Amino acid sequence: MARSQGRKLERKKLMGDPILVMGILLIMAFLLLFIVYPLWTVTAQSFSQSETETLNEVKAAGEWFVHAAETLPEAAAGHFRTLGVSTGEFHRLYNRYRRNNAEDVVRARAALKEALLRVDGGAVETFAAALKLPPEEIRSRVETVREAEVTLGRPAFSMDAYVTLFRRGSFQKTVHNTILLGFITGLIATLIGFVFAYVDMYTKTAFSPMFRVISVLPIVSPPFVLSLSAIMLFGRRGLITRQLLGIMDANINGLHGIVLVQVLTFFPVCYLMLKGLLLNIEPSLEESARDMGASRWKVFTTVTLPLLLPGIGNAFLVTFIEAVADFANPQMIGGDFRTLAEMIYNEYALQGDPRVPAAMSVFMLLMTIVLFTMEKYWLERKSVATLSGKASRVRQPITDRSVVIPLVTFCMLVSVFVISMYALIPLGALFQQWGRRFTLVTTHFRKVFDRGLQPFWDSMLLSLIAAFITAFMSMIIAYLVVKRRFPGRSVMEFVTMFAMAVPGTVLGIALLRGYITGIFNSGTMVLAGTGSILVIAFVVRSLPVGTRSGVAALRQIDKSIEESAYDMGADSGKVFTSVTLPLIKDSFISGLVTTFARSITATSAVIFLISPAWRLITPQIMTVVDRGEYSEACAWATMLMAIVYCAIALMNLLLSVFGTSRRQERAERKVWA
Amino acid sequence: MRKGMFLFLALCGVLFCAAFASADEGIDWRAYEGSELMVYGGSDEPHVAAVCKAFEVKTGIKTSYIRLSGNDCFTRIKEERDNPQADVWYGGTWDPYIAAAKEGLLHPYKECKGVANYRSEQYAVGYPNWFGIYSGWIGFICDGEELKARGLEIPKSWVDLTKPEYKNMLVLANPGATGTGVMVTSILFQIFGPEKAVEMIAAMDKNVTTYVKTGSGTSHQVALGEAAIGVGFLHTGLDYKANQGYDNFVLAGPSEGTGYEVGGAAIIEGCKHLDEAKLFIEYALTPECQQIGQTVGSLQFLTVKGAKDPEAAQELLKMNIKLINYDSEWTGANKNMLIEKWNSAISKEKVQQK
Repeated sequence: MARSQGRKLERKKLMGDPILVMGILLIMAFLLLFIVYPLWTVTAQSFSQSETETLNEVKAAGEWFVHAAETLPEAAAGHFRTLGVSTGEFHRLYNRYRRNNAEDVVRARAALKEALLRVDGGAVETFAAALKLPPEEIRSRVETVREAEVTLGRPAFSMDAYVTLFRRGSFQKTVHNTILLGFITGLIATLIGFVFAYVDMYTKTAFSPMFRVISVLPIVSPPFVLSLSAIMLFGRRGLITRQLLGIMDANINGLHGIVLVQVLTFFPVCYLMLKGLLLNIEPSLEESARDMGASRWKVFTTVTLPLLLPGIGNAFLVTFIEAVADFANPQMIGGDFRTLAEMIYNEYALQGDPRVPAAMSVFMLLMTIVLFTMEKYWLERKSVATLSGKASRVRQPITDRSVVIPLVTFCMLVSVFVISMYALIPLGALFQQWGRRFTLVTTHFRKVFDRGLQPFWDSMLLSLIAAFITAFMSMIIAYLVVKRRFPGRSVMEFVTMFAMAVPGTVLGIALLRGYITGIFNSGTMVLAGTGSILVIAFVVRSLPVGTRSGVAALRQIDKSIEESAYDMGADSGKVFTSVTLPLIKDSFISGLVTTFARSITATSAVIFLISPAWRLITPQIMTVVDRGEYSEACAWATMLMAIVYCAIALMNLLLSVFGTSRRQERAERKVWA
Repeated sequence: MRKGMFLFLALCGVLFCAAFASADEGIDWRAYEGSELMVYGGSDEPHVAAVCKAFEVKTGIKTSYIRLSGNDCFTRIKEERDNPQADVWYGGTWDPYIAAAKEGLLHPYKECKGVANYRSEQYAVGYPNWFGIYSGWIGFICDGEELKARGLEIPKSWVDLTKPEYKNMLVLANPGATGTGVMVTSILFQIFGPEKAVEMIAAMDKNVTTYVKTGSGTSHQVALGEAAIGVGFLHTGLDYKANQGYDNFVLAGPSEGTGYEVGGAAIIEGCKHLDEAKLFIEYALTPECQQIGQTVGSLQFLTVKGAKDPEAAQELLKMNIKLINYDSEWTGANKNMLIEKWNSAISKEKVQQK
């Protein structure tokens, strides 16, 4: 009884809140238009019937009629010549447009219908007699055309693509590979990210700021550049493997190579996510446990860890899915180790049946859905919220040497490794020839300037727009999902997360296909070739990450904080901006930064969306790498990293000026120091 | 009626070309001055950029381009079939052109004047859907320094690649992922016959360190020092050697013979600037345009009479590489069979290793 009343009240509150309702509707519209609809086109394609065979048959039949009619006088062959010609025309146009409602196709279909009506039984007899062939042969050809006229363009359900896929032995191996890769990368990256976050938040070392800088490095670098560094260090002619250790046949290509590069790429994301959560843990909770005599380890396992568990699970999940969806690194350094995302891209590239890569994408999507469901039912039940919402003061750092020294040493080692990997990028840009001639020159940078800096500005502008949209939207979605009850809530949550599992290639192709002639071929919203479709692709790619970190942060905050604001008469907009948003500001900032960096380094999705008006920097780097100009690629990457780094620093500065809690924090830090 | 007119024009074109050896004449290059053209470039970026620039200067047509890999060009054109964003597809190997022609994505340009100027019939393989603008050969791209350091010879034949001393030296393209891999497999089938070819693939497999997923990947692996012998397009190796400073590269052609590719150019069906696109194709088939490539590092053999092959490519001619009568149509029709045979030939070995 009480519960149903509560629900009623909730609904009433929702309906009486126009800002909230508008927000929900807008977000739903965005998700529907730019995630569900493009993914639907991919799914529909994977279940469609292949028309290749019918098309080939009908083409052959048309050609046969034209050819046969040529040898005969007009009187005997007239109708069949028309039939042949109109069949050919219909085939050509249908093959060209593959769209039933295209004007030309409709006209050709009508013409073919008319031609078919004219070739009745009598006409067939005369024609057959003139050709000295049995009438059955003519009739069966006419039947082929008639059938094709009816079936072509009629939507038909088929599982052929999936059958092909599962029959292929290499596919099962690839699925196995992909899961293995995601699991290993997820585990290691989460662990390293957690240690970094813990050291940053719980200890006070001189290196802390350095860790912070280092952990941002990987996000700001375009993918495959790190693969280049890995090859330079650990490859067969590697600086470490051959020059230092004297190994002649070292092989970095393969699973270990991908894991190495991916962990370095993704652990900072885990670090940022977990750091945001650790910030929100009230130090007094841990301190009271300590006061009651619990050991540090006990506190860690019974207080800190349970509070963090949803966040850790979330970090693992995000890394798993990102690692699985990454295409550039497996392509570059994967060797024989094939992964799904890479296979999807190359399947398109082989120009075979496009339903097969579509089916692979659907399979990947399903995999993600399973993961999310597992996470939802398993981890969420264990989530714990703290009443205070946000740490009221700064934690007293751990000084215990037995804790600090191993942790800091670990972080130092990782840092040195990360630095050596990244130092190779600007260094590589200065080498006369990458990996072979180590004289320092500036020609590669000059080449970058010669080619023009337009791609930099385009990339920056679009990524910046995407960053702000994503940061706001993901916080609103996180808020709605965690704090509000409304119809379609779980749909919203699920759909937001889907996009993460979609490999960039598929998203790029789906967006292009969905908006090349406007939505549902309607001619409205022809977004292909515009800058906005790039921004949309960026937002869709980053929204899940931002939302996940927002969700995880909000779950730690008890509902009663906001309720008290409501009770005092604030509307939902006010509550969101003055209570919720400040509480999750760190997640917001990390969303902003991450989206900016992810967008500016996005590769596989944008290949299909760039236009001369909007040239981006990553396709440019790809082009350069493709030609083996590694040093120049490093020069591009160096510039890119410098820009992103400056942008991030600027963003942080601005936010610390405009934000309030930052200033407080600093003041409090001073007190503790 | 229109068809008749069309044929008449085509006939006129052919007669015209027959009358004048140089197709260049009789084309009004400034006919569409001030108009626009959009190009998807599949060859190296400097090449696409230089050709677009030169075309713009010659015709006064504002020409913009995007450079994508050949396969990405195909995927984009296919997805954009209902509202083509580009008018011309320029450069890149033939596989995607052949596939696109089959799908009706290319606009047949029957009255093309430049065709009469081809050096050989083999470059007209795509006519009238696409036009051969350069040609390259498959061969061995070797790291001479590395082989020397290990006391090994430069391989001279396909059979050499199966020798055990090249263990962990070889990099090949994966036919399950790239057209170059399909092509190499097909060459082996066409030279040695299906049974022997499968045997050879299995024997080479013992020497292979990696099967790369892109056509250019074999040269990459050699340039990066990850392998000592790559099987790929020789002109890519030539580019690395002549332009990127890889003086350790040594190129070789297999004595049993090898296959070739033809780089294409085509008009995209349903494009917005058809006349300008036709003009571009005519331009692509002039010696003037074809010789632009070598000034910016694209060193393939050219396809029209009167065009001078790049100086650096003379090296390949001197090697007396035997070209087989490579059957691209057969390759296209048997793609799945080739991939399957390849898979079964290598998996035995690889499964045991892992």
